[in-house]
Amino acid sequence: MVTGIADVRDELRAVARDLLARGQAADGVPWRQLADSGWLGLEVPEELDGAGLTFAETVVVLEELGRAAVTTSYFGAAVLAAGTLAALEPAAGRDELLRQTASGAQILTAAVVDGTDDGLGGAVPFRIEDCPAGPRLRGHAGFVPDAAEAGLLLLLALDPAGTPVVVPLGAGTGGLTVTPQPVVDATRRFGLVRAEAVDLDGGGVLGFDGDPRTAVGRAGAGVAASMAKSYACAAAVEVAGTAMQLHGGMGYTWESGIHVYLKRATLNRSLFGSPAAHRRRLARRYT
Amino acid sequence: MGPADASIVKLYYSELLQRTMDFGVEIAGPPGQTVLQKPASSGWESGAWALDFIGSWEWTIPGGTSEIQRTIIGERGLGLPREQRGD
Repeated sequence: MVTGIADVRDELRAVARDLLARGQAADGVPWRQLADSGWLGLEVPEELDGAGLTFAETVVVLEELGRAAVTTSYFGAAVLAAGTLAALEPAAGRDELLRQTASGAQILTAAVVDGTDDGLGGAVPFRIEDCPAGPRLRGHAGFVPDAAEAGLLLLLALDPAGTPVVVPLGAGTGGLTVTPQPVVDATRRFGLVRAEAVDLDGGGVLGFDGDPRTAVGRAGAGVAASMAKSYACAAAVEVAGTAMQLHGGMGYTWESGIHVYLKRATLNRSLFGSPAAHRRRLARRYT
Repeated sequence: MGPADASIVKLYYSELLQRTMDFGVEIAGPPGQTVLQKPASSGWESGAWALDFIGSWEWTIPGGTSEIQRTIIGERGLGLPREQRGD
């Protein structure tokens, strides 16, 4: 019998491990199956067809997807898109997108930083300009997870007044291009998202609920995130590298699969800010 | 030439190579992950950082692993007691 949140997580982990152990890792998990499992809407409120749980439960699924080294758009949708939408002002448009995220009716992702650099400069990747013909969106963001697979992208932009907003755009929108960026880790998918004078006359721009920098998480969450990101991502490379060495000639073979984890760990270390960039941010507290 | 000199050179080169490629792939950031093929005849330090880093285990494992080299350096170079046999 499921009685508490710890049981929910144990149950979730057991189901996830069982489902992912059925040899689907290489081909990815069918999107329908992810949706039916309820994993896409763990953090989405229940009234919007989600489970009304927290990021801690999403983490359980992420850990198991990582263990199985699955190719999936889960990260873009259930983490980036759902997390971005949760930080927005409640509105009919936002609620509908959360509902679509949870049901899996649409694959979403969010372009909130340009991953080409450290991604910690705080630069907003897109900009809305007032043109004589109406508002136009410009900008670009590299290494957006699952961008080429998404049917709808959430772009972080500054409006003409300099206020951060989120612009939801369908993949086929005129002026919007998504170019896949293949990486050494073949289990992951990224895209370069570029907007050139995208016509925003239709509206649909979504505002944040309060200050976007503090909309997500508690005070001090940034410090904890930088500590965790710099430490855990460096440790993962060391652990996977040591595993490769300890398995010797067998570890180096394609079949052992250790190279998959080493590549994933190396990639994760450079995404969303290198350990050096996060430590630089932490060091600012002491100046 | 000392009895363990070859081991010292192999150990130092391979581990230095691995650390340098590790550093390279870290500072190259995500763009360093997009080079999917090394330039032809580019050797172990090709500038394709992610591939060079993964490839550095081709030096720390074959030809006697780093662990084996340390045993040789300890026993033959420094005259330490021989490693216990498993049997």
